[in-house]
Amino acid sequence: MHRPRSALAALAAAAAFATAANAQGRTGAAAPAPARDFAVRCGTLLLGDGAPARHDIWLTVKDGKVQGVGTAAPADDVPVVDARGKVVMPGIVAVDTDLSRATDSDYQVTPDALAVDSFDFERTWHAALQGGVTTAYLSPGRQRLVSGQGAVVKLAGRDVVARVLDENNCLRVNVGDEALRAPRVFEPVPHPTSDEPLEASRIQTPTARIAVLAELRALFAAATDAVRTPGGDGPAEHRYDEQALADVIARKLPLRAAAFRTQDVRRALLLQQELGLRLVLEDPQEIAPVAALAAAQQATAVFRVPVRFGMASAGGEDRLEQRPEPRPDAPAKAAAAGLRIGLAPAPGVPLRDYLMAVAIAVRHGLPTATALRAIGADAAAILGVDARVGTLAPGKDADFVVLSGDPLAVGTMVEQTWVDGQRAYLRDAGKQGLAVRCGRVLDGTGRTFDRGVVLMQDGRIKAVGEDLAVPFGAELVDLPGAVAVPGFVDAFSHLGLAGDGQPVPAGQPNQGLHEAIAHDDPMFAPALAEGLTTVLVAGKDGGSVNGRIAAVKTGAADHAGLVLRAIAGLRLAHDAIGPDAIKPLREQLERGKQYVEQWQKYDKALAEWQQGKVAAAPPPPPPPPPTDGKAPEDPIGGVWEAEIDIQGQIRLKVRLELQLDGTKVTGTVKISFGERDMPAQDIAAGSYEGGKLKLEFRGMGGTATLEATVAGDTMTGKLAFGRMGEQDVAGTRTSKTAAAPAAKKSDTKPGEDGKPKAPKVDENLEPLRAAIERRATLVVRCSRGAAIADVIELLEKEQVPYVLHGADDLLDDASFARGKHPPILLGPEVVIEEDGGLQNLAAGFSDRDLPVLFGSGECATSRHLPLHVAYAVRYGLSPSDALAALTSVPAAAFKLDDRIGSLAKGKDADLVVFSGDPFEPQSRVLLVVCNGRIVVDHREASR
Amino acid sequence: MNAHSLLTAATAAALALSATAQDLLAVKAGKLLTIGGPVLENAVVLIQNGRIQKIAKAAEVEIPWTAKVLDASDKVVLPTWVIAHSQGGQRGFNENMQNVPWLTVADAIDPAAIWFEDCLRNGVGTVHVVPGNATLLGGSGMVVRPFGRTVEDMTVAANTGIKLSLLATGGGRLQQIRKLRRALDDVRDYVADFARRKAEWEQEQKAGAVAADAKWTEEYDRQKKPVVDLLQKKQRGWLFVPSAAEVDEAMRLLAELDLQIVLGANVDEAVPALTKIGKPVVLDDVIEYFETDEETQKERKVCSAKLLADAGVPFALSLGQFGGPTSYPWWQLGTCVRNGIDRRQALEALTIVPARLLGLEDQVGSLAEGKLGNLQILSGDPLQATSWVETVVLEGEVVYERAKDPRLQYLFGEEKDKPAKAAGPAAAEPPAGEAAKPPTTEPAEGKQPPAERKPGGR
Repeated sequence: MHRPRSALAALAAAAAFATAANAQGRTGAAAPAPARDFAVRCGTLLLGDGAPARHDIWLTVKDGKVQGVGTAAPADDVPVVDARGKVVMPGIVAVDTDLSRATDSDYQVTPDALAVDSFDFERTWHAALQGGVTTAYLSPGRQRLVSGQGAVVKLAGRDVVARVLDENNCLRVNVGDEALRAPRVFEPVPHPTSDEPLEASRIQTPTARIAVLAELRALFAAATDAVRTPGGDGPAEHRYDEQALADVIARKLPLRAAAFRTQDVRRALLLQQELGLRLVLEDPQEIAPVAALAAAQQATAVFRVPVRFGMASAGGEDRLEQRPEPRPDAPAKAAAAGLRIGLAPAPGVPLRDYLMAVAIAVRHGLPTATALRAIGADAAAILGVDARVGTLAPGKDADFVVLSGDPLAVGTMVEQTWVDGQRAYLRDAGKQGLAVRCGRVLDGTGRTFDRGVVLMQDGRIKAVGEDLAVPFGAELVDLPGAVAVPGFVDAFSHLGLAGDGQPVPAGQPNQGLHEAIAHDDPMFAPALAEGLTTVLVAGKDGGSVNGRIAAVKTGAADHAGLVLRAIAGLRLAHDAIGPDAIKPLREQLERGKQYVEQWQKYDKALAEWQQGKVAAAPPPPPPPPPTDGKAPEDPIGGVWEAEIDIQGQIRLKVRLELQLDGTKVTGTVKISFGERDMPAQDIAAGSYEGGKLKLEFRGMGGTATLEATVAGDTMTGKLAFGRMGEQDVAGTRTSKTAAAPAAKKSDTKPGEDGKPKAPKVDENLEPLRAAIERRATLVVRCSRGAAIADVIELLEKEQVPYVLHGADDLLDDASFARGKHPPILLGPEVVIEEDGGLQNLAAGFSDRDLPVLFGSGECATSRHLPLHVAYAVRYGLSPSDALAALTSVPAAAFKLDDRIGSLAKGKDADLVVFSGDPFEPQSRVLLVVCNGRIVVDHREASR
Repeated sequence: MNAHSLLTAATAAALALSATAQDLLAVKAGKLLTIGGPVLENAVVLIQNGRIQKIAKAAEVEIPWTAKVLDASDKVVLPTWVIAHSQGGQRGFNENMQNVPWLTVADAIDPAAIWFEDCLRNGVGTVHVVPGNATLLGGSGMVVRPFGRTVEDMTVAANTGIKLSLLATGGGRLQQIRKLRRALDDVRDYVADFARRKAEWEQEQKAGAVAADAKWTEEYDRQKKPVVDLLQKKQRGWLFVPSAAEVDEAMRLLAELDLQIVLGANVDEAVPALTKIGKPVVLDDVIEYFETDEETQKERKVCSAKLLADAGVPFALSLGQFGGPTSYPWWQLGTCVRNGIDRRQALEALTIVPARLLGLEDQVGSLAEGKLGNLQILSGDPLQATSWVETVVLEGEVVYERAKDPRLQYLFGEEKDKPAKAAGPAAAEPPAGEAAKPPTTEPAEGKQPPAERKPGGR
C-alpha cells in the first residue's frame, strides 16, 4: 500500500472532528464542513454516466466534494486511499427503498404525509451501506391512493440537515390494485349531538378501477380551486393540506404513480396527458406494451428487480389465475423503448444485494452501461438530485464505493462506502474468512488440485479442493498460475532465541522456550517472507542431553497464536560405541518412564476420585504387580491401546487398563476421539478364558461389548456399540504394569478431601514424558553407524518417537537402520562435496526410503532453508520429497500433524503461494498466510 | 387541621398517632440531606404550618415545647422525591380517541389507587400525573401529592400542561407526526378564523351595524382552548418522544412550542441532538438496557442517564409504574451511580430537577427555609437497597409510618396472624377492637368534619 498509515490517520482524525463538529439537529444551522481532502487511487473508475471504465485514475476529494478526476498524481502531502486493483464507482442512488419504514394510514388521501418524517436518521443503515447505497429515495407508504410525499436522503453523516437532499421529492399515488383496498373508517365524535351525530363507519373510494382516475381528477380539481381549506373528511388530524396536489398540477412536484399492470400504466399516462404532469412510473412491471407511449410522453420509470424468484406462493399456482408476476425483463424493454429508467431491488431484498438485482436486469437484456446509469446518473436525474449525486464529476458530492471487482460480477464485494468524503462503511474482510485460489494447490501429502481453492476461517482451513465455491463475504485472493503449498517447517532453528546483544543460549531440558519467545520477534519476518511459517526452536547443542524443542509460528498475531507446542521434543546426542554404550540413553529413558508412571497413576486415581470411587469403600487390593520374572506372565494385565477407524470419518482411540483376577477381568476403558476424551468407564463385566477376552462396559450412550482374541501383546476382535454397530478392533499392549499396582498407590496420597495429589512436576523430565506419551519427539544427534543402530534398537523397542540428526553413516550402510525407517534431520547444507564428487544427502536418504526433514540450525539465516532445498532438488531430490521434507514429514515426526504440515480441513491456515513451482529458483513468494492471516503480500510488487 | 379525616384506606394506620394535629413539628435528623444545600449532621428541621421555618444544627436551636418532635437522630432525613412525569394513579391512562386536548387527569385520578400508597412507601411526595403516551393530544396533567381522600385535596398544582405524544399508534411514525401537525394546524386555522371574525365584528361595530355597547361574547371553543393556549405559549406541552428516531421531529416542535421533552427508553443514539434542547429532559424509567449491534450482533449495555450526564443534559428520573426494580428510587439512583453518574446529580434528578421542571422549585425538591415541609426519614442511605422509608412528612404532617404500614405488616407478619389465605389486608375484616390496629378499608374516624384546604403550594 502507498502511504497507508498517514492516510488512514489523517482520515480518522478528520472523521473524529467531523463527528464532534457536525453533531447537530435538523433545526440547527449547518456547521462549516471540516477539511477532508484526500485522493483515491483507483485501479478502475466508473463515473456513473455509463461511459467506459477508466484505469489507473486519481479521484481527488476536497471538502466532501469531488475536486477532480485525472491521471495526474496529487501532491505528496495529500492522504491517499489506495484502491489499486479495485473498482471505484459512484455511491448507488437507490430510486426506491423501504428504508422509511412508513406504514400506511387508514386514510386514502394523505398528500401532506412526508416520508422524511418516518426516516430514522440516528440509525446506522448497515445493510444499505454494505450494498454500496449512499443515497436513497424514501417512500411515504404504498397502499393508498395518495400516500404522501417521497424524500431523498443520504444514508450516512451526522448533519441531518445536510443529509436531506429533497424533502418534497414527489407526490406518490397508486393507480393499481392496492389503492382499491383502503379500510372503512370510523370517525366518532367525542360528544355526539343531533347536530353532530355519531355516524357509522364509511367506505373510502375508489374501490374499483373505474373510480381511480375520477377520484384523482377530483382531488386535483379541489386542490386548485380558489377555496383554501384542508381537504378530506373526518377529524382535524385526518384532514390534509392540499398544497402538494396543487404543486403537482403546477409541475413543481413530479407525480410518482405506482402502476404494476399495463392498464394501470396506461391510466397513469392518460392522467399525465390530461393534466400535463411530470410523471415517474413506480415499478411498472408490465410496461412493455405501452413503453413507447411512455417514452414519447417523457415519463420516467423506476423498477424493482427481484433477486430471489418464486418464493411468495410456492406450489400455489393455478393455471387459470393470472397472477401479477414480476417481469425482470421490464427494465430492458422500457430502456429499449427509450425510457429513462432507474433500478432497485424488489421489496424484501436486502440492500446489500443491490448490485445483484442490477445484474439480473442485465441478464434479462438490459445493456450494462444503461444498467450502471440506472443506479447512477439516470437514477439521480429521475429523483431530481443529479446536481449532487449519481456521477463522479468535479463539484459533485464525494459519494463513492470501492468494489473488489466488476460491479456486476457475482462475487464482487463492496469493500468501502464513502459518503460526502467520509467513510461510512469498511468491510471487515477477516470475519467471513479468506479464500486463496491458485493455478495449483499442492497439499503437502502428494495431492495436487488444479485451479484449487483453499478456504480458511478463524485461523483454520475450512476446505481444500478444486473449484470450491467461495463463501459470500470471504476475501478472495485469486492468483491463477501460482502454486500454493503448506507453510514450510524449519525442523531445527534458533529463531526467536537471540536477544539484543545476547547470543542464543545453550539448550536445557527444563527451558520454557515458548515463554521466552516474543510473537513479534523481528527475526521472524525474513523467515516468514520465504515461506517458513513454523519453526522448531531449540537452544544450542552442548553435551549428551541438550535442550527442549518448542514449535512456534513465525507469523502469529499474538502470543497465544505463537505457540504451536510448548514441548515438541528433546534434543539428545549419542555417538558412543562399545559394549552397552547405549546405557546412558537407556537409563535416561528409564527415569522418564518412572516419571510417566507416577503421572499415569495419578491420572487414574484422579479419574476414580472424580467418579466418587474413592469416597466409597476402598477397592479390593489388586494382585501385586509382576515385579520379577518369577511371577507368572499376566496375559491381560496392563495397558492396551487400539485405534478404530469408522468409515474413514471418525477415529476412536480405545485405552484399556486391565487387571486379571482368575478369569475375571476388571479395569477401566477410556475412549477418545479427536481431541475429546470421554471419562474412563469401569468395566461392568469382563472375562478372560482361553485367549478370549470379553468385556462389557457403558459407553457411547449404551452398553458396549468388546470381544477379542489375545495373542501375546496384541488383540484382535470386535467392539460393538449401541448405535454405532460393530467395529473391528486391533490393539496392542503398550504396558504391562500400568494397571495401578496397589502397593504403589501410596505414591498418590489423597489430599484432605480425598482428592489425589498430583506428583511434583519435574521440568527436566517433562520433555521425556511428552516423548514417552508420544506427544513429542526425541531428536538424537548421531553419526556413527553402531551408535545409530543402538539408538534405533532402543527407541523402536520403547516405541518412543524419534528423529535422527545427521546419521551420516546410514547413507553409506543402510543396514544400520535394521530395516526401520527413521526420519532423518538434515541441513542446512544438504549437497556436499565429497571425494571430488557431489553428494546429495537428501536425495540419498530419500532413495533409501528414509524420510527427510530439514533444519537450518540457524537464527537469522533460517530464511534460506527453502533455497537449500531447491539446491538439493537441482541435484536430484524429487520435488515431491522436497515439499514433504519441508511440510508433512516434520509435522508427522514432531507429532504436529494434527495442526500443520498439509493443506486439509481442520489444519491451521498456514500456506505459501509461489509464483511458480516452489523449488524453481526463479519462483517468488507472492503470499504467505499464517494462522489465517495474510502476513506477507507481494502481489503488488510482482504485478 | 383534621388531616386524619382524609385518610385513604392504606394510610389509615399511618396517621393513627396524630390524633391531634400540631402546627409545629420538629424533626431531629441524625443526618440531613438538604439536597439544595449542605449535608448536616445532628440537625433539626422545624416545620410550622406546613412550611419549613428553620433548619439548624441541633446545638444551635431550641425546640419549642409546643412542637411535636420526630426523633430521627439515628436516621437520614431528606426531602421527599419529586416525579416529573407519571401516568400512575389513573384508572386508564388514555382515551381511545387521540385528539382530546380538553380532557384532564383530574377526572381520572383515583385517590385510593395503590400506586399512591406505593409512592409514600417509596418516599415520593410530589407526582406529576399526566395522560398516557398512547395519544396525540391527550389532555392536561396535574401535580398531586400521593395523599388525600379527594383529588382536590391531593392537588398541588392543576393544569400543568397538555400531553403530546409521538408514539406511533396505527400508521407508524410518519402518520403520527402528520396527524400531530394536522391537529395543530387545524387549531391554527381556527384561531386565525376566530381573529378574522372578531376583526370583522369590530369593523361592523365601528360601522354601526352592531350596537356600540355590545361586547364580543364568543370565546374559544372549549375543546380547542388548551391547544390555542399551547400555540400561544400560554400553556406548556409534555411531549413524549418514544425513540431516537423521533427526536428530530421533537426538535422542530420545540422550536415553535413551549415543550417539555419526555423520553422513551431507546434514545441513546440521539444524545448529541438532545444537547441542543437547553433544558432538562425526563428520562424513561428504564435507563439501563442492552442493544444489539446490527453489524456484529453483539450486545452492549447502554445507560441513557450516563450518556446524558456526560453530554451535559440535565435530566429527571422516572419510576416504573408496573413494579419491577425501576419502580424503586434506590434502584434508579443506584443504577445512575453504578454507571458512573455523580451521586449528587443522581439525587438531584429525583428532587431539584423535577421540581424545576414543574415550576415548583420554590416549594419542593430540597429542604430550605420557606419551602414546604415535605421530608422523608430513611433508616439509612437513600441509595442502599436495605434502607427503608420509615416516615414521610408532607407539609408538616406525618402521612406515612413504616411501623404502621398495613401492607408491610401483612407481608412480613407471622403467617398465623394473617386473616385469610388469599385476601390481602384491604379485603380483610377489621379485627375486633381498635387496639389491634391493622389496616381497615375505611378509617373509623369517617365522621370527622370535612377537610380544610391546606396551606401552601396550591
